[in-house]
Amino acid sequence: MTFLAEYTKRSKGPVELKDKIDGNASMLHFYPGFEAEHFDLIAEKVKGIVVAGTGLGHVSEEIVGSIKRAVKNGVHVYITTQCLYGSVNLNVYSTGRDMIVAGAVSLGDMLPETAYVKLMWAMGQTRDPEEIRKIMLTNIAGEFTSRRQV
Amino acid sequence: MDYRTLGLKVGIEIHQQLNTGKLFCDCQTEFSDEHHKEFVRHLRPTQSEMGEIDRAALEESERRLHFRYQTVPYSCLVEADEEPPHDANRRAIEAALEMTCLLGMIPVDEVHFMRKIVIDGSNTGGFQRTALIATKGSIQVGEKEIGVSTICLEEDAARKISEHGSEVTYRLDRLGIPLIEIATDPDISTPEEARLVAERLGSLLRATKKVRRGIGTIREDINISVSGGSRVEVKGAQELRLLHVYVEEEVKRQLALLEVKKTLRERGAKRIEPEIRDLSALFRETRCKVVKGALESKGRVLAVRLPKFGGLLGLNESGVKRLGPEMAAHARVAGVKGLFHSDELPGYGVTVAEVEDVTSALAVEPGDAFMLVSDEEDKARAAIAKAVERANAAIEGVPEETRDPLPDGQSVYSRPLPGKDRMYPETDVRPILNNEAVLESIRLNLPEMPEAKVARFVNDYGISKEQADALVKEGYEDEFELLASGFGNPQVVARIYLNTYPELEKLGLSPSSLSLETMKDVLMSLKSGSFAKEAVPQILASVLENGHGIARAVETLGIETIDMDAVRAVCDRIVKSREKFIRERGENSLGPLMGIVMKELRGKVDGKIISDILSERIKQLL
Repeated sequence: MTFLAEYTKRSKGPVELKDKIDGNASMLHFYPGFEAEHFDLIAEKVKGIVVAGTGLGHVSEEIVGSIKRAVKNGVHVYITTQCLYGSVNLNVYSTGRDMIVAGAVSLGDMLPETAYVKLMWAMGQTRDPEEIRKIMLTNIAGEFTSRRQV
Repeated sequence: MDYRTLGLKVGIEIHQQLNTGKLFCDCQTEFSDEHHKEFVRHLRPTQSEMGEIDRAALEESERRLHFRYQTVPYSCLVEADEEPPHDANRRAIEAALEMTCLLGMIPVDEVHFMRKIVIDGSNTGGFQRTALIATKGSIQVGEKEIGVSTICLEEDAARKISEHGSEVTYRLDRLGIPLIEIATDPDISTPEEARLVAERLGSLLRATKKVRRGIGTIREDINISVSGGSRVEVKGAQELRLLHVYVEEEVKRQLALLEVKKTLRERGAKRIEPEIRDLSALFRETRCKVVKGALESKGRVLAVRLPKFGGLLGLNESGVKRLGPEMAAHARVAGVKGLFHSDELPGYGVTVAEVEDVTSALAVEPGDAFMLVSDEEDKARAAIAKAVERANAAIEGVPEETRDPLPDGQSVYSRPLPGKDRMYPETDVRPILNNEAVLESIRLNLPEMPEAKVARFVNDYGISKEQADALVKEGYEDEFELLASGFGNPQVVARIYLNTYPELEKLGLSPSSLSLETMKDVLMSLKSGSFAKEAVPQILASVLENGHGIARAVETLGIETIDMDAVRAVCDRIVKSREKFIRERGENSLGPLMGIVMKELRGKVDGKIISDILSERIKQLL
């Protein structure tokens, strides 16, 4: 039998179950015409938001403002892309750079649904935003890749 | 040659690959012999921010090439320019900052990557990313201080595999490997100095231990001019040993061209407005293979008169090439294989009669020259235009240009010197701030300087200062240290690199291709007594020639160890047969006797052992 992808081998040590989840998160699909007010209303109710942005992960300028307000209020905002293949890259256009300044964190090529579940789990493990960020950016089970092959 | 009177000015740029991983993606940096998928692209020059098209890019685009890129199994979309670059590799930036500290340079506050237009296809995007890291430093070479103007960090280009007609094939494995580019001021004034500067920079780079090693991992661009000449860049020299030769040859070339300029002016030569004539009819029966081949494939023979250029195209009295090869190189830009000029004709199958026909058809007068190009008409016309343009430039002197180095120390025209209009900002990569904390930690952890290493080698391994110096200068310091500390015998290790390697090179072998594993095997076998150190050159030569492993080489050469009794027996026999000689010469007879015994036992026993036995026997006899 040959494995075509990398996989995680069974660990040698004792296994610990970490099944705590904080479901107080939301996944928002950006589209042209998405109202900043709607974003703000949801952001008031949740602790974490996964945004599924356009190609490189972008949202409109109005939503950048919403992200800024949400992060200021302690909401964890993570950016994914609606594209199945390819990765978020917020360095290319100024909107993306504004999103970084506003406090959004790029999740590369992690799928929005995966990111949503992972965020709920991360929020279940710790309340420290820095720790959550570390968990989100650590590749635990192949949920993202750093290379996209030709 | 007195380079000072000639006003020689040389500046070099060293490009050294780093072993820190690729600059803008996470792909492997190993080279691959096989390729995977392919894609084909055309590249067009674009305007810079100033609205100009770079002259080098423009000429390159006139070649109308297309590029086939071969991916390897670990190529990624960033390398194909299908995905924006990732953040710049921090370790590569830190390596560049380390060199900044070693050269006493001033780091920039913010690192901004730029795109440098390169449309020879060696970059999939048509540009190379490069960033300025530091400015204004210097190195000391002997008594002289040589300014170091800049350190840049760049991505290496794709590896050229082949070129057929209008298609150039590149492989992506090398693309994106970080390069540190160190540029000196034009303070170098002799060829020898150029070599010393390159050696010094090379040993500092290796001291960081963040550089790749081996053939092609370090490349030098040499900028050369003499007074009255022009800045010419010999780009991409890989052989450090040839560096001074490139300078010497370029000086000769520029002097020869200045001589040509003088003669042309004396003759009152004017800009040539080419009157191109189709002389195909004169060559219908030709025996010249090149011309015949062109005519058979529906080409034409076009010719043009070059008034007052007679005798200036071929070699000069000292055998230095002049305008002919330069014009031919320019003609090749238009896609032809080359040209014939009157200084080399009759020849190449072109007969005296044909030359006479051409001379009268073009109304060539004494002191004039002519040239012929045979190819498809369009190509031939374009080629003649290019070559005449080059001839016209000779009236002005030495044109500024970029040249490709050749293995014999000469160089050939490749393209005009790029202008300043080929840079524009890389907006896909965020600027990186150089903060004081990072710099401080780099300053506190600077590597061992080459001088300190030499002193340590002398101290710890008991080799001479000259040996230690040479090891560090020639770049064998890491191999030496690893082998000498692992297997002992530092003298033997040093001698392999400093004496055996040059000997092997003289035999036409390339010892630099010997792997570290092979050397480990040699020293291990030596230690276990499979052969004596005298046999090492023979064994390495055999490994290089036949590609065998050590054990096999030892077997093929029939080297075997011999037991000590047999050695004593040989010594006894020789001593006995030369008894008279020994009595005459006393202890001085040891040397000559050594020679005889070694000849018989060469490679099987260490010389020291033989010398011990012999001197003991001689003493007994006396």
